[in-house]
Amino acid sequence: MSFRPNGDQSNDADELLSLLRVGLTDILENLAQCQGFTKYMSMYTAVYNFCTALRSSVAGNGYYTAADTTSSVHGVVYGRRLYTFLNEFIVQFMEQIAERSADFTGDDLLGFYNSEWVKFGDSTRCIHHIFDYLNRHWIQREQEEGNNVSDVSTLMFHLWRDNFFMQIRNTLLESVFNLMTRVRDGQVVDLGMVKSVADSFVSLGGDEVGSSSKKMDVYNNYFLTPFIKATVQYYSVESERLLNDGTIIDYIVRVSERFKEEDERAELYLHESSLPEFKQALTNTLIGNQKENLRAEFKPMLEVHEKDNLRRLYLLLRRLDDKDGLEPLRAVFSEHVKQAGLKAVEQLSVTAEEIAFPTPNLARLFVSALLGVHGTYTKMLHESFLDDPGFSKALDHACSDFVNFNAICPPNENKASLLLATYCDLLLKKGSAAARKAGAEGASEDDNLEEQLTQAICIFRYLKGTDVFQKFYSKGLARRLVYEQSVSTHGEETMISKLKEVSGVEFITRLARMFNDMIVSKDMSDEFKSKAGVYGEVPFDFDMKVLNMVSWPYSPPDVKLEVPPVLSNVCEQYKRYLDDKHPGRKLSWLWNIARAEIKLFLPNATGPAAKNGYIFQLTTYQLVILLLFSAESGPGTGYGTPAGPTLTYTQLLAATGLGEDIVLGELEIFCKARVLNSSTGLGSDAVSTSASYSLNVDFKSKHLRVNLANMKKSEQKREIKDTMRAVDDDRMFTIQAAIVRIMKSRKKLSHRQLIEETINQIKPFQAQVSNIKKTIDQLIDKEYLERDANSRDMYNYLA
Amino acid sequence: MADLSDEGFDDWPVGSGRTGGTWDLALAADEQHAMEVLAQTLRVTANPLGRTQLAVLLLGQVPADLLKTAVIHLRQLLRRDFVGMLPMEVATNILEYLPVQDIVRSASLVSRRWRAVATQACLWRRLFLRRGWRVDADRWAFYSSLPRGICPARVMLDSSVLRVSNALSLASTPNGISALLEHPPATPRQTLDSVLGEISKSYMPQRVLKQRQFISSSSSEASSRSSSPTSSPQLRSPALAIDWRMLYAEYERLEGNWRLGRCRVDRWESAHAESIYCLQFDQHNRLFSGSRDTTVKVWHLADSASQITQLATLRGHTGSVLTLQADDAVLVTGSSDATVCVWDLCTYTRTHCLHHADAVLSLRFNTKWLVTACKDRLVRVWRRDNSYKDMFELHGHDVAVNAVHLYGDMLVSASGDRSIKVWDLERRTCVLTLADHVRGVACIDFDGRFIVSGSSDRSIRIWSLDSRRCERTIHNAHSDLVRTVMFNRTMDIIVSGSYDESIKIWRFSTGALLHKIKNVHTSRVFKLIFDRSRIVSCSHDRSISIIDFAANLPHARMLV
Amino acid sequence: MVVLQSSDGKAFTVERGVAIQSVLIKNLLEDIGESDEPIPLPNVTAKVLEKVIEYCEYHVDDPAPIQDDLDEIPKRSDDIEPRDENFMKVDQELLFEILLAANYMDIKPLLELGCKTVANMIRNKTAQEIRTMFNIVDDFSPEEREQIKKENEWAEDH
Repeated sequence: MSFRPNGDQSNDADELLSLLRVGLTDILENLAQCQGFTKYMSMYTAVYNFCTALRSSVAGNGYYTAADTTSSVHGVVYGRRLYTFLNEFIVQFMEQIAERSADFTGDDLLGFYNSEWVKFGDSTRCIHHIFDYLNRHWIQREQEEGNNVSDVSTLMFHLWRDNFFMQIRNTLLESVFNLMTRVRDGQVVDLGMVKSVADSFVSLGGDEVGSSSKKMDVYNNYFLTPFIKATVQYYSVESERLLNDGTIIDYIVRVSERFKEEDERAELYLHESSLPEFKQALTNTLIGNQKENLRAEFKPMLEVHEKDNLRRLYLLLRRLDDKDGLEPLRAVFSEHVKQAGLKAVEQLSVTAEEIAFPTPNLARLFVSALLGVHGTYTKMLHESFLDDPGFSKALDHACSDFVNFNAICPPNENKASLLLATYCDLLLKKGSAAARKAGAEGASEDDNLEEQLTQAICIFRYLKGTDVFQKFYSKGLARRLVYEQSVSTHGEETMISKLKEVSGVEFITRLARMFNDMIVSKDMSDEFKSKAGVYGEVPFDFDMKVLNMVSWPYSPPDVKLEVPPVLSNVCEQYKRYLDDKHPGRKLSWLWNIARAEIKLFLPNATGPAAKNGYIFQLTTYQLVILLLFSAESGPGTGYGTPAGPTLTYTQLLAATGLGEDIVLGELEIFCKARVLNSSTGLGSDAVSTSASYSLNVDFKSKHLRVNLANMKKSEQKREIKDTMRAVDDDRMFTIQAAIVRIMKSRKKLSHRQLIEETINQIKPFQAQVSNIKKTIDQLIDKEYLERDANSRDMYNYLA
Repeated sequence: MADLSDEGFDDWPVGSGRTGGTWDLALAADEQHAMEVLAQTLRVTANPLGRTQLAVLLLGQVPADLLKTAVIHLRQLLRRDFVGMLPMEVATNILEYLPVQDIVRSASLVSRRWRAVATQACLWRRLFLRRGWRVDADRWAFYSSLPRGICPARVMLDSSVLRVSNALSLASTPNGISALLEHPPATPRQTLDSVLGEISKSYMPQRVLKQRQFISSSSSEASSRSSSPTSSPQLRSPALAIDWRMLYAEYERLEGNWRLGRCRVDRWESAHAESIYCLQFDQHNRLFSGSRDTTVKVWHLADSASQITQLATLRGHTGSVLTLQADDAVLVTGSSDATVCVWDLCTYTRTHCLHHADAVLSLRFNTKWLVTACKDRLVRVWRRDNSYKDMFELHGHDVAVNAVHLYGDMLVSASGDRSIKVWDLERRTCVLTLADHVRGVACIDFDGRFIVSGSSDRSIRIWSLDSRRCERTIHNAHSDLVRTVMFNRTMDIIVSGSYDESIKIWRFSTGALLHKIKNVHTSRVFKLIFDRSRIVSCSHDRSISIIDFAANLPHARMLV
Repeated sequence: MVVLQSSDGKAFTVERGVAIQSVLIKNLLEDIGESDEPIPLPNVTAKVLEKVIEYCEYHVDDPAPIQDDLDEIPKRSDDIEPRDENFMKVDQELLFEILLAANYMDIKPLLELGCKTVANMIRNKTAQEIRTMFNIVDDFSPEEREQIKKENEWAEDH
């Protein structure tokens, strides 16, 4: 049993302290070589025993006991004593280091500082742990009681800071700046030294309390600020020299390199929290002060497409605020693209007639001009502006401008939509290979088509008034489907799915239904033919397409056509078939769009024509007229003669049931093609209401197939006009619906609000205020709305 | 358990002057000395095994009766004084596990050493914080900055007068200063001046309104939370040695006072010319009251009614002021004149006036929302971020909405239609309807998880938002309509006031009546509010009453 | 594996995971690196170290203890697991040594377990009973005792 009088206590304490003194010296001076479990544990144990005021009995029999059971504060006293001891010891050590550092300057000082710093960091971690019992108890308790005491590692860093670092920091920084100047001048030096110094500044800010910003105080105040100042000074000088010696372009090239170097270096040695501040300072020095000069270079570069310099300039100015840097460039870019687009359209050679009623050829030229400009600047966007979203927006803005309004497309006529729809028709219609020849050699037809369709969609995105496009596109599609002129089903479907992507499913619903009708019609035609036993034989090739009224841009003609019996029989048969299959449906015949082929054997024909006859492709109306001339009997004269019958205009009118315009128009075509002869002369000029007509038995044609069914120019023009009118009607209806919807929910609105909301609600086109006003008046007439009795400017909704 | 057989083993006379290490067999002095010399020699020379062997040999020569005594002694040697002989920090850790009564009544009476461990400030600080108690650092800093000799209780109470009035003008409040002059236990004039100097230095007007801070588990935490850098040095100054044991004792006593209903009731007659409908007091001891006389008055709340001083009278309403709420910067009042007024508390001027269709019966606000309950059955909600412009209405109650309470984005409303509704203000929807009361609901309190409601059916109900139903009902809590209710789950207390003129204190967790405080008011109680140390109430009898549970506890006001 | 050596020279080879429940050992291995060299523990005897290692082996898979410094409820000692309670059924002298070792080696859960065990021994005892149990001499003077009684009045409400 060990028990000693209290008197030995102070001697023991001194013994422990001297043991610690030796151990600490070893750790601080040569950590690597003095490490071993035994030494570590003896020091930890010394600290522990000191703090707890416990002593082992010398013989080591394992009994420990508190030496001083009466003093309540012994732990506190010993804790403070040990803390003071450590503090004083480290202060002394720091003084030694400071003394030794006096021998060094420049890079040597940096080297010395760094190696000492690294050593000190490792030692500190170790000492912190060896003194852990002090940390855990005495220090924690002091801190809880609000006394200004730090844990051991914080204490040590503070002592480093206050007793060494503060004394040499100016010399140290000078050495750093000196080194940096040499780096910037192109010398190879060890940047790791700068990093270590910077890191040490960061660690030294580890204050015992406070926010993270306070933790960075030492670094920010004593390192970052002077470092930035020195950097700014260096580059102010360089910037001035560069501007004096060379062009702005040279400056851009050089400064771009400088930024690359400095960015890389900064990442290497600066604390990450300070990178933005450093870069900002550099930016202000090298770019901010020159921003007007730099921006002025943009337009000339743009004009000659200097893509590398454009990229450099972009990257430099991107460092500035958007407002100062890129925003002005984007505006210049947008305007430049717009002018390029307008010029490209202007350079197309077109006639006024072509502008009024665009031809497929014009559509092709127009679209390819637009695509050319768009492609050029998309490439530039990618190569020089790294697909910057702001520039991308500027490009879109410019495209949207020049696509819709240009030399060919005056405002508010939606001509661009019409042209694009025409272009699409050209791409997708059989037999217009010329339109597709632009495709790359070797690419398969389908790939080529797909590529062109994608480009068409690219223009489509910029269109204002997509409703117009939709109308014309659906006209073209209908024609391609009905007359089976599509270049490929795949092509049609591709286009529809692309449109769906851009404009949503609503936009293409009707178009998609048209496809469906075609498939169903085909099936029904086949079935009908297979049921010849039920409904009767069909004496000729017969193809029926059943179109759903609401999906197609067609309406039954307003004529009472006298259908020849040979045709009407078949029609009746099909009608019966359809009635059986889908009872109760109303069936109308679209005579106006039906087509027929007949073979005509002329008595005076020679060669192959005599043997095989001529094949005429005809409209239904033409068929009905022509058949009259091959009839056995009828209202005319001369039946049975080799030349066939002669019929007067009046007789033709009565026998066909068609209107005067149609009959005259078709007669013109027949006479012009010399299929019929007029009693008053030759050619289309001889067509009149007073003449009579007979088959031209001497008809000659180089080709055995004669197509008379092609659409006439006047009809094309009329179709454009009609379609445009239909769009206008639709628009008025959309506006009306929007206004009613708004007023129904809001009940009461001012004129201005109503117009604003209406414009906002309508999507596919921009509603014009005049049309909205007109519609409001109509609605007031129809008593949907009323003007407020008290305020003329307000409208009320009438339920 | 270790050494169970030793418990109660008490055949060794205690307190006979022995020390733990020697054995006094009443030998002659020289013989005793010779023994000790011999033992000392053996310790140095022989190894422990040898010494043990020797002892066993020696004991073999001892007669049986003495051997018995020797065995008893040897067993004592194997016992350990855990608190006395372990390092202080371990000993402290052991005591932390004991109930406070054991520390005070047993542990601190064992020996001087035990007493030293059991009375350490750091032990009591930990015990204190583990009770969930916190000290109001502002008040403590003020207290600790006073020179010795000034009665702490007195100055504590009056410090608030000075702090608040300082915001206006120190000279205009002779009351506060005279209070100091009345009780100077041998305080020379000079000291008083230095006190006032200190006060004006520490409590600049802007500090009155700054966010409060609390002394917490460690000082570094406290100072990192503090918003103003000037306050942290005060916290770490050595002057601020809090006597945690004394504070613990006072807080314990305060809780006892609540439990046993030990309080001092102070009535303050004729605070207003007519009935007082609403009141609130804040941590700066500012009291706001609204009355049927159409005015709102701002008072400094002292400890006894005779020392209450009036700071301002706000005029602007044309009807009874029925409801109010204040924070550090603004006061919002609602009136039967169908308006809600927002007042700036620095200048005491009206900054906004919000119009309603009928009398405004209740209102609450937080940093995000202002909610008003109106007689027209609607609850109106304003966002506070844009000068009360953005407003929407909550429809759902069938008759007048009597009370509203806010917690974050959650609103609770109570109506004469017997229902309580919980709303999500962000979604603007009612998320829960509670309808167990059999007559109209008059008042509610809400802390985010629980709702306590008082009704015309004379009951108090406790509702849980977790279970979405009524958890407890206190039937016949009062003999008339329950007009005002407030609860605090940390204190485990509900306080209610009724048209039956009484105020009652209940256990929140059980619904048991703790105390009925009589003779507080002579007519209907309209509103009450309490903090850790007191209940303040107002009534149709035009008086304001303070029910003080800390009358004998000078430090209790520092409890938050 | 880590070798721990008691003050009386006995070496114990244990898994690293067992050893580093002692924060002291954990720090030491981090600072110096691992080696076959035994780690001397000059304040712990073989008898105690064996017991400490037994505890660490039981608890080698325990999750890291939660910092409970900010708890707002009084500490409790009635939550000792039966296995730990059994482990602590040792005589006072060994219990005392275990507490010292846990404190020295910085094994917080074991220290807390020891403190709880001692607290449970003290709980509900009078001062006299405590003195008897631990063989403590009452060294107060009568005046001191009187003074203490007065100070403690506040706790008599309970």
